[in-house]
Amino acid sequence: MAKAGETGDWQSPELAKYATGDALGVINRSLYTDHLNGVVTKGEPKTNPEVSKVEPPDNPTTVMISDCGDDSGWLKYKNGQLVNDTPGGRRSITAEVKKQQDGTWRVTRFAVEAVGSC
Amino acid sequence: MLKRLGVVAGLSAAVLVATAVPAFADGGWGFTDCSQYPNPGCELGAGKNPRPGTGNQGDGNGKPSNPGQTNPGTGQANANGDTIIGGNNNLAQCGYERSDYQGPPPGGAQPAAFHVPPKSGAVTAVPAVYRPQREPATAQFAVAQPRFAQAQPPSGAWYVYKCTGPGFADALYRPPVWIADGQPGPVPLPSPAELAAQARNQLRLPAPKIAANPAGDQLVSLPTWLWLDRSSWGDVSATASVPGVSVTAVARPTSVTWSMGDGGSVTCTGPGSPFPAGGDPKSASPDCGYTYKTSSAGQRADAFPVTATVNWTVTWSGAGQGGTFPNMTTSASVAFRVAESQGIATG
Repeated sequence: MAKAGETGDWQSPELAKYATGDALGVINRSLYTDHLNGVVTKGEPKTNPEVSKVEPPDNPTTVMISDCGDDSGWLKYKNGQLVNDTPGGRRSITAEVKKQQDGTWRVTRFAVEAVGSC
Repeated sequence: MLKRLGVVAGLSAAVLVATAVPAFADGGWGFTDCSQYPNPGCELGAGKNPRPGTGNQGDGNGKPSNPGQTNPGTGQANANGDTIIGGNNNLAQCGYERSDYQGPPPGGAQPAAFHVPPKSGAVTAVPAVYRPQREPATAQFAVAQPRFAQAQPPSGAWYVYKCTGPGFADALYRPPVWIADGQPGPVPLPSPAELAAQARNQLRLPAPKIAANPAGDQLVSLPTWLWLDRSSWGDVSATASVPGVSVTAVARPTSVTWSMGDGGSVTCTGPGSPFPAGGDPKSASPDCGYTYKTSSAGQRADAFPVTATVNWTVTWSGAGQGGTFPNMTTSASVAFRVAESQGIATG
């Protein structure tokens, strides 16, 4: 997403390698909106994901991941200027990763909470 | 009445600039923020960021933050489902526009997270729009069912929400939300200019397909022919329409600038002539060529990075109107190795 956000390429096929379903839709719409607004994202988020749950334990098909991500160094720009002076910050993130039929793992759903939620 | 409201709203918006436009999330995750934009998936974080209700944006959370809530009052949606967003007086000239975003409805057959309740008080996500009086044309499209609607059930369309006005000089769209057909109130219909912007946004310009002769390494002092495959050179158009109104944007390639990687560049007003089969290798292209003076030895990977950038003019026409958009560009890069020619091509 950080990579696609640099160019506003909301249709980047790369995204579908990592996300599917609802998660992909949310990411696409976020990037589409930046594209529509002529906004690009620069920098990278800081993440430190941890597995919080694995199901079923013996032959996992679903992994839950939690994180306290920080997007204060991953900000939106328009015409070379910050979109506004509201910085990002630390956000609680929960993601569901599921094994796909082709054996790959993809993010199927995720929730990003407000700045300051962790 | 409408006019007076417009003035009031405009003043309010102007004041808000200084005080209360905190809304636009600036971080990379901004538009995925569940506290502002409830999305499918947000249920995973339930409890971490308590929100009123579930699967229901009717409380206004679905919209970008809502400074107007501090000043509830006069601007109620009227009985006809008219064009004023209810209870939201400070947000001047806000509305949904149909989006050219293409994707399945969220959650497949269950757009519950985006469900807009039929009638639930003042601040709802009713797809209404307030048009400023100075844009009378935008009100002319009294058509029931625009044809953007997705074919698959549930029928509806993606809308983007934006506020414009004196205080929102750089108004930004919010992420598309799915609104099912048949919601109460009129569906906001785009003006020709808005349709044109959508058409432009739908333009899919091909990346330049670079070709050159010699086909492999270039040689110092030997003319290099530069051209683009014709599949990547030609008019590209896209159309956006509602019944009775159709607007087409056309992008036309006008020039290609070749940055040759050695500091030189050449601009050609056409795609360039392909090198003819059996042509004289020492001949120069009649319309788009370059001759290297130095070898690329010592460059990164011993090659010059070459970029072809195509300049496109973009115009639109329809509904008896027309206009020009800023130019667009596409580009592609290749690496040219340039060898000294002695001993190779002396014959």
